Amino acid sequence: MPDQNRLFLQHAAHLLNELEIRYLEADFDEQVYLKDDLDQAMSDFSKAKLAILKKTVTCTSEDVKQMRQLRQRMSNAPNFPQIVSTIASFASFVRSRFL
Amino acid sequence: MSRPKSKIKLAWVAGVIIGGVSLGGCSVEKARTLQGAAVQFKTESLAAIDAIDAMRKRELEPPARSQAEMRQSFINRILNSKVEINSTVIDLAIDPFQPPKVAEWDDFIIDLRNQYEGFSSIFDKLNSGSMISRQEAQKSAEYAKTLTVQMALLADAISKNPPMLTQYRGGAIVRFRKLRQEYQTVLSKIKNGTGTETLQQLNQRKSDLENQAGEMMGQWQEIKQEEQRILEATVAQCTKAAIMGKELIEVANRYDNLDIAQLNTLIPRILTTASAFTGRDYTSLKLKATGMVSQIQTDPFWSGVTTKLLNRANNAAASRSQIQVALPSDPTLPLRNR
Repeated sequence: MPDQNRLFLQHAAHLLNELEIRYLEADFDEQVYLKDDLDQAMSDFSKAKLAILKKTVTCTSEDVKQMRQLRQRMSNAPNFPQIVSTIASFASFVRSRFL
Repeated sequence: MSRPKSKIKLAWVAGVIIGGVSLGGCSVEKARTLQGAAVQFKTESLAAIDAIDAMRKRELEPPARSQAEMRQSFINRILNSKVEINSTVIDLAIDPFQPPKVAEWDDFIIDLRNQYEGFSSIFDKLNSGSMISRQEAQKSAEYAKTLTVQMALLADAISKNPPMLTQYRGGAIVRFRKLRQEYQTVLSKIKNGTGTETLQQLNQRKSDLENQAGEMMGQWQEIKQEEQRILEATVAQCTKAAIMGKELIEVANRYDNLDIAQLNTLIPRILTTASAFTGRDYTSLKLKATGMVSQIQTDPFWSGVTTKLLNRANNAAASRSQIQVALPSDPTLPLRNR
């Protein structure tokens, strides 16, 4: 049986990675617009990882499924408003479920 | 394996030292032997905490940039921007990649360090010549057992959830994407004969870009190797601390039945075995970390502390599993006002 915690963190890390790529590709004005959200996503990812390392969270297959959907949504986001919307969903999911 | 049941025997080195001091020269020598090992256990454990702290920071940090690069990037950003310039924007233009501080991690690391300080303060007291109470000795023993189990659980959890240097990967992927776009533009120009460059110039650029792609493959592999190196070093250090703590506590538990010669053989052996955990043979290290978790869960001497820690974690997990969050079905949300 695959390790759900590991799968969850892999999807979360790839989502974060995709967000960082969008940020790097953005011009400076866009980076100013995105920076708070990027920081929030990085912080939430790091907190979720801590919770998993401390074993205070056990990810379910549903968690993995939701994180996979969020990752896909980030990869397919065509513009900044949708990137920001995906970060908001990510933050809401991670905070309510894991923090 | 049968183990003495006396409570005081569970009191780690400090408890042993109390007995030792009252029993005369040979016992003091025995106690000092264990004390030295306990100091080593603390050193290795603090190194493990430093490794965990470094790992979580590396995971979010950006690649290093030279002062010249930072200066030139700042000039480009600030002079071409349209946003209102304020102190936040200036700081961001200087370093737009600074990761956020994560207070929960800081608290976790401080808490781990504090536990070791609590454990080791008993030995500082001994060195200053103060009396150590039985209660303090038992508290120290509990610290040592809890810390050992924590280290074992962390080693296992980290080995199952390896770090990813997301900003390093992000930077490399952006460079790959730009390179591919440039390469395909050059190919298109060669094919269609468009633009002002000669065919020879275009072929030269094509060749340069191919070389750059080869170099970037090496850079990508370096990032992956660095991730693996961080993983192996962290798991090795945590496993080393956990193994050392486990074996030393077990020796302390048999203290009354061991003479000084046996202790002088056992303690260096433990230290040597632990120092062999460098992470170079990661497959066996990972097995060792996982094996140790199984061991401390089943061994009656360790299972109490392990169960207590895992139950605390499981209770937290159970309370969280009650919460289910539905993702919005329509990802399109209106532009925020910022």
